[in-house]
Amino acid sequence: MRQQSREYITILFICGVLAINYPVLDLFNRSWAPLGIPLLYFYLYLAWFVLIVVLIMVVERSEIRELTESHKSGATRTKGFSRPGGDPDTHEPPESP
Amino acid sequence: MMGDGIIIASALAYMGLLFGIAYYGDQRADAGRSIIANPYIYTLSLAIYCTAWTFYGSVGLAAVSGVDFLPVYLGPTLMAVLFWFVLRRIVRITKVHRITSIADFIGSRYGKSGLLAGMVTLIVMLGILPYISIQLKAIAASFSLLRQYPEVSRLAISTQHPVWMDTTFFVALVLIVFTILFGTRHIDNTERHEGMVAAVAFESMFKLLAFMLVGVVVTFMLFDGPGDLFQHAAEHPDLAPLLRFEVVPGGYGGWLSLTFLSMMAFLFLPRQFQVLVVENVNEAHIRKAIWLFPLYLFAINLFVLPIALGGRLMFNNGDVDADTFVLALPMAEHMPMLALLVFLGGLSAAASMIMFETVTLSTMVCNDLVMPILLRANPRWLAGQTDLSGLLLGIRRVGIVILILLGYLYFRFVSESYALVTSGLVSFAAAAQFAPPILIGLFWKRANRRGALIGLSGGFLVWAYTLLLPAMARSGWIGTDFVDTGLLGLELLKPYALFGLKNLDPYMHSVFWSMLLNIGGLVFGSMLSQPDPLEQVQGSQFVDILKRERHDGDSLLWRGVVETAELYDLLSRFLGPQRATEAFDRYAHDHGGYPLQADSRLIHYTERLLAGAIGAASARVMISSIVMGEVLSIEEVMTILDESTQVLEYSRRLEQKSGELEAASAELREANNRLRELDRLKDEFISTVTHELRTPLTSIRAFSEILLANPDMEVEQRSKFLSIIVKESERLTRLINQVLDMAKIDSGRIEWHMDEIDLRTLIQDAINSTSQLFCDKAVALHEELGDAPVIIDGDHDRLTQVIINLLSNAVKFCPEQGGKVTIRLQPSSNRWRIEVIDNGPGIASDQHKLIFEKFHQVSNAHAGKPKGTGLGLPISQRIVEYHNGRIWVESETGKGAMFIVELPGTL
Repeated sequence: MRQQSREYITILFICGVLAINYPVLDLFNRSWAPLGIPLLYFYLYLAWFVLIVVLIMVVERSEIRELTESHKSGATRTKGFSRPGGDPDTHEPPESP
Repeated sequence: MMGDGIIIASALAYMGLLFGIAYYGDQRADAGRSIIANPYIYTLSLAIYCTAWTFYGSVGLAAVSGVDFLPVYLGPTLMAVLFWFVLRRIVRITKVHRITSIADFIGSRYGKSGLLAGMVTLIVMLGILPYISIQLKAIAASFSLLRQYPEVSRLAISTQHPVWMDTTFFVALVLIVFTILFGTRHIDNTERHEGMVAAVAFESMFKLLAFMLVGVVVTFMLFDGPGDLFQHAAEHPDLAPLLRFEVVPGGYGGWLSLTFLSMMAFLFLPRQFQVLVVENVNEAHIRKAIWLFPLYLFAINLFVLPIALGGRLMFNNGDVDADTFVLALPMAEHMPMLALLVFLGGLSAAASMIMFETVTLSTMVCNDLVMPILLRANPRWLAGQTDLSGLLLGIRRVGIVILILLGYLYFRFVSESYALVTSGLVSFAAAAQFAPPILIGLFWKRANRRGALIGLSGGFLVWAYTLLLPAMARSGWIGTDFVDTGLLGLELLKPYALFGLKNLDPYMHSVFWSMLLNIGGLVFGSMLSQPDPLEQVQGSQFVDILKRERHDGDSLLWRGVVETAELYDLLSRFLGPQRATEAFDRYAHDHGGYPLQADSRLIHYTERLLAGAIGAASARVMISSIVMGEVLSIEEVMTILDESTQVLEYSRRLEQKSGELEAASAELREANNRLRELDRLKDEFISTVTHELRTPLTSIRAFSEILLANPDMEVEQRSKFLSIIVKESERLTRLINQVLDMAKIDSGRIEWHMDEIDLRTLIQDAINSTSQLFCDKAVALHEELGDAPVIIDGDHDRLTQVIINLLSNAVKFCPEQGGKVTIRLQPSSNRWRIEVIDNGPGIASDQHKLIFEKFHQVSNAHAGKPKGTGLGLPISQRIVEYHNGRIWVESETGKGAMFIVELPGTL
């Protein structure tokens, strides 16, 4: 994963922790109910969903970038290493090119 | 009325379907065409996290504590964000080191410690019992409820029946059979269960759909959408508080600790570790799971609150257990098919958890508890067995039976009276104890075995004392005295308010104390003790896992001698002959055959295969029992300890070396230059000396020959020639004396006669000695010597020599007519200054220094013939310098020269 994506992810984690804890959470502990849904639930689920959407954007975009970059450089190196079932010797990581 | 037969038949049919999927998955895996090798199956298999706790318990919790059910899913969501940093490391390590379980992982990290792995296994066994018990309870409760269809009522407590009439007991038995069928068909050398993963993925889909279906039905059929539902709830005086945060027990602190607990439990519950790490096929799948898994959690939680509120509104009188709302609502609405679907969803959620957890656990019990004990207790008997795979399977099967039965006992005696979530949290807190040794061990090399042992045991004891024992006590299983008044009647030891820490909910309280002891023990234990080489090796291999390209580092650790056949025998005993042959064939294929005498690589290869079957610690014991003279030298350890540090160190040393070389070569160059200079000077000296000697010799010889050839030469002529001969001889003598003086002075062999001398008298003597010279050349001498005697310390003869030399030089260079020399003696700031001034041609400023060099003679060009030996001034300089004085010349061309000698002395 690219350096920039890692930074996004770190920021996202910190924001996530802040968003679902005191004191931010307390701001939404009210009786008001937008669209008929109590604000506390509305906020928690919305924050959760937004977190997931941003995660999708960061992770998938990072993958697309990496794919295009590796296409440009003509490399066919795969990220990580795969392990088809039952064959212990394919567990080895690839040698560095 | 729904017949028991229909329920049981559909449950068995569903389990059969799962078994079919698992079987198919294993077949495909053996054929090398895995069906689980894609990120979606991987993500779905992670959803084994959602057990009966999620399926039934979340609603039960939401019905009384509102939003309190959410941290259990928000925590894993946050952990998923960190997957790329944490999980990827763990997965990489696991693959490289053939790790098969969380106990194996911790044991391996801390020097392949069997003790630590065994301890982890024990903690897991105790910690997981409440968790297994709630699954059994959920299955039994849902079954009992469903069979009363269409009637919905609170159930009689099943533990009032004797065991043989207890539904839960039969559920446990059925699960034992299925688990053994699913999980212990053969020994896999990687401890992976692809078929089970495939089945889990299927049931994850199934339970999600079932749960969401109920949610949709409740929200949109029982009520007019979420707005209507929440409207009803808000108007209900009992339900309105559920919509606010105040109902959460423990407040924001409890909320935070619950989030933390579930973050850790999500990674470190044994089955989670199994699906997340051991069953991971490809690291790249983690990337997709980062967002896909949180999405799954989001979806399965979307309708928790509507169902809980709907249940509360529907069963107003409170005679239905909130933990069964999910099932009770479709039943109350007379939807038998949906109710059956929900029952199967809950069954699969609970059953898959039990099966996966106990298979994982039984592997740990076998590899990390029973086998090490057998290996140590009776290695000879073990060595005599030809095929141990049967024994391994047997141990695991017994393990599964014991675990599930213990779970049942815990249910019967302890957790019956608790809500699902309350019991489950006890297990979460136990799993969280593994977070410090793993997470800190991943990033801190110094963390060592002693620290991990101290931390883990401390954390575990606190956990047991503050959560497990009170839970047992409250169920009346042991006395409650220590809960109410503290152990031994000590207030400070009350398990829910340890050391007087009140106002925290029991989970936060337990998490705080156990983590404090666990982390503190790990950190300080590690700081205060030295790791042994193997621990250091493992530590640096784990921490630097992402930096390393090759991982054959610890094959260096085997330096023993063993026959390849012995290794093969060992392997076939644990894996069976067929798999062992396959493995060795593969090795031969990859490495072009294998040696008769196994090399370290083959030994390491075998160790890793064995580690897959019996765990790292046991594998090490087995291998070292047959490898002779296994030595782990500190030098070898150092070679692999830290590749990056080593490279740095290497380049630093190279730099240092090249610096030293540079300095040495510079020194050599300098020495060489000096030698060459000395050589040149020596050559010059010899040629000059020979030249200087030859000149007088030539004239002596010429005149002597003339005299010899002409015996009747005139007396006047003859005496003239003879006087030349005498003069030249004198010059020769002088030259030789001076060369000898020079050599003596240079080599330090000259004798000095230091004494109190009168400088004024000395100069006067010198003038007297040279008066003849002045007369000969008609040079006027002007004396300015003052009146008083000047007493200094010095060598009389040598200093006289200096003055004579200066005076004779001055005479030599005076013009033919009107030559004039002045000699002056005067004080000059603490020193005596002697000046000898002539009115000769003077000396060019570039010559001022050169004239003090040996054999250097000025004015060869002017005078045509050298007038001295070229040694007078160098000798004078050395004599003056010996007296701590100074000699130099001040002159300009054409304006005469002034030689100055300064000698130290009191005025």
